[in-house]
Amino acid sequence: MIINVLRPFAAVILALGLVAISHSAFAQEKVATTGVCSRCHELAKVLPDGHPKVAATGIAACSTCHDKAKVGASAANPFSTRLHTAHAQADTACSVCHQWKPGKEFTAAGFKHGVAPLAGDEFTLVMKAMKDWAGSGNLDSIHRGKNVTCTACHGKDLIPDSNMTAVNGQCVSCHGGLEKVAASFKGASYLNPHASHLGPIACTTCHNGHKESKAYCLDCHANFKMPIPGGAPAAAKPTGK
Amino acid sequence: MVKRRDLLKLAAMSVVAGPAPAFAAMARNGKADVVVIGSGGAGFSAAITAHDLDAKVIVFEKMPIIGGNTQIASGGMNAAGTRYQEAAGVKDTWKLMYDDTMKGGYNRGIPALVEVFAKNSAASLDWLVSLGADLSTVGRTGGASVDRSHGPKDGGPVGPQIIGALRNSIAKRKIDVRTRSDVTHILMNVKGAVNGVLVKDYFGHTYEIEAKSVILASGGFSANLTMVTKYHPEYAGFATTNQPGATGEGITLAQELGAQLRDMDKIQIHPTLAAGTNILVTEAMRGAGAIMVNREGKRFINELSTRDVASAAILKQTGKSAFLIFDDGLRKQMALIEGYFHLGFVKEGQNPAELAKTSGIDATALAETIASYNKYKAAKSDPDFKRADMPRSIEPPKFYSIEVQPGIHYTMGGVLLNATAQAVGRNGTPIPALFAAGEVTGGVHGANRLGGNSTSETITFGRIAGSGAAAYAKKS
Repeated sequence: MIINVLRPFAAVILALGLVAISHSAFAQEKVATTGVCSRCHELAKVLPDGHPKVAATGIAACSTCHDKAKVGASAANPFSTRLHTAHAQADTACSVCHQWKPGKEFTAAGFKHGVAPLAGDEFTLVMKAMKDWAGSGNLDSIHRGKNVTCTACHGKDLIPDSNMTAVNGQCVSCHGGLEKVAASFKGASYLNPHASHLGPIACTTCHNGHKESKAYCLDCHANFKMPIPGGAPAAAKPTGK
Repeated sequence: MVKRRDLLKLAAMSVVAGPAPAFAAMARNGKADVVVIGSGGAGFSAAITAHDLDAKVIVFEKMPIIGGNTQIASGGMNAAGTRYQEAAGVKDTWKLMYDDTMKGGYNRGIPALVEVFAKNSAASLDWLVSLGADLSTVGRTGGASVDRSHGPKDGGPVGPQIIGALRNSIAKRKIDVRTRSDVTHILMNVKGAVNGVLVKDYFGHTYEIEAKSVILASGGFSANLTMVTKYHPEYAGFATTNQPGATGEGITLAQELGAQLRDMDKIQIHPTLAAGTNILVTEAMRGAGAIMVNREGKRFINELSTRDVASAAILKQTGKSAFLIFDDGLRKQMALIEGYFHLGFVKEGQNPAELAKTSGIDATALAETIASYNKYKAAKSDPDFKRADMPRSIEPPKFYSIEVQPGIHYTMGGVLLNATAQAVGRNGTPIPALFAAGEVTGGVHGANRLGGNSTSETITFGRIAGSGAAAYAKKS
């Protein structure tokens, strides 16, 4: 179970340099166990009640326990989500915990290897997306509420292609394909957005991770009422005639 | 990127001459034999054809979904001399289709193109059927001398049949299709031959694909009201039946390369949008037996008139709208009519008088009109408007109406193409390595397009463009 819970978090953790929980290879890349956290925090004060005493003052040390290969206290402990949420909501600059060489590497402090070598604008995209994830009404934030972080949707490549291939694949992987989602629709069948005349369209046609979602149907059928998670507040249930 | 380019014409020049892209990690510059711009019927037909001739193909679609206007085409696909016509006892020839098309387009169509269009129509239909489309029934649309509009057995819309078959074929072949990818420039070398495209991805990042030939299949501009009203200011405020991406950038791309445009002012108004919406009510309803009346309850035109004539006639009626009148029999015959019920377009009544009341039509006149029409149908003669084909009378138990009004439907004009689907330059000669197909082009439909001719054109010229582009790529 812990593997399933934490698997999605790998890139975010690495991207923000908080902890490498994704796989043991990263654990072996640790080079420092001191520093980053203690720049801002007195660790004894920010650790939760009952947390074992730690001597280290850096993130890498945390992965000793907060690693997907471990079991026990970290099993139901979305370490990545909690840390990223708190820091992003507090407007903490990425660079506090991360080392970034534009176009070359983006590394978690305390680890040798980073994730995708984010170029300038890619870094901006990730930063904006992270902030959105931490505190918007969009789908990313809704997913955060369920402890879902970047790689759960994006896979290891944070920047998707224009088709959002990996993202759409992940949508289907967790939520099922159009047919399955359509089956759960409670409104009138002809207004079922997952069984439309447009055929097998991509999830991301309507469902946006980092901006407001909107049913594509509305571009032509402006009179439809089509509530959508992460969309503008929906006034009513779908109606027909 | 800059090194490879000999010349980039017009605005593209500044793009290449500018600073190096800031998105090194996002850049996906690459190569293809054939680049296709647009993923509607024309683009996908071209892509499949080129792929099957061993070309490496990349398709770019600026919208988040594929299919273009073809996806939402509701009527049918015109083809002459098909197996389905034969089975239905319909005698048709390419020459008759040619004549109807030329006449419907006020003889403005280019004869050589119309000939290719009509002669290849049955083969295009067969090709689609071989890819899995159901186009097994035939019906009549305005301007056609015989039943040649093909659609699926259940009377459903033709677009999903065509795009469904093409989409599956694209997927089966693993052809590279990139949505949300906007081609901003077509590139050209010093010899004036097209050799690639610049593409803006979802994040606004521009990259380049080097290509041996490029097929422009980007659709028309009915959804670009600014462009439409440039040619027809009187259409300001009109709704359009088109998908929101039909905004005509492909025409600008071709213009940058010196392409010759034709018939840009020939913009078709579809007579029957559901009043107050941008949803088209298929012409096939009239072909299958619906009649059209005004608020005064009277027919005012032969319902099978061409679109321009029907639209002009409706705009002259009280309230600039009209009503399609039909019965339960027609409702049961055409599956897609059910959709109009779902969308709330239909008024109903147990008898003509009740229908008139719910619809806001003169009751006495409507009852008389229906009774007269039924007599005409029985006598196979319409003395009022000379409607040639009256497939059914309008009978109880229930009577229905849909209020309709004209809207912008199709742009006949665009990039001039020749019979081998090459884009023609302003100097009258083909632009090397640039092919075009579908609504982005001008020349096939002349001054007015007949219903069912567009889907047919997209497949025929899409295939010709795909074949030509693949051959060109092989040579170069």
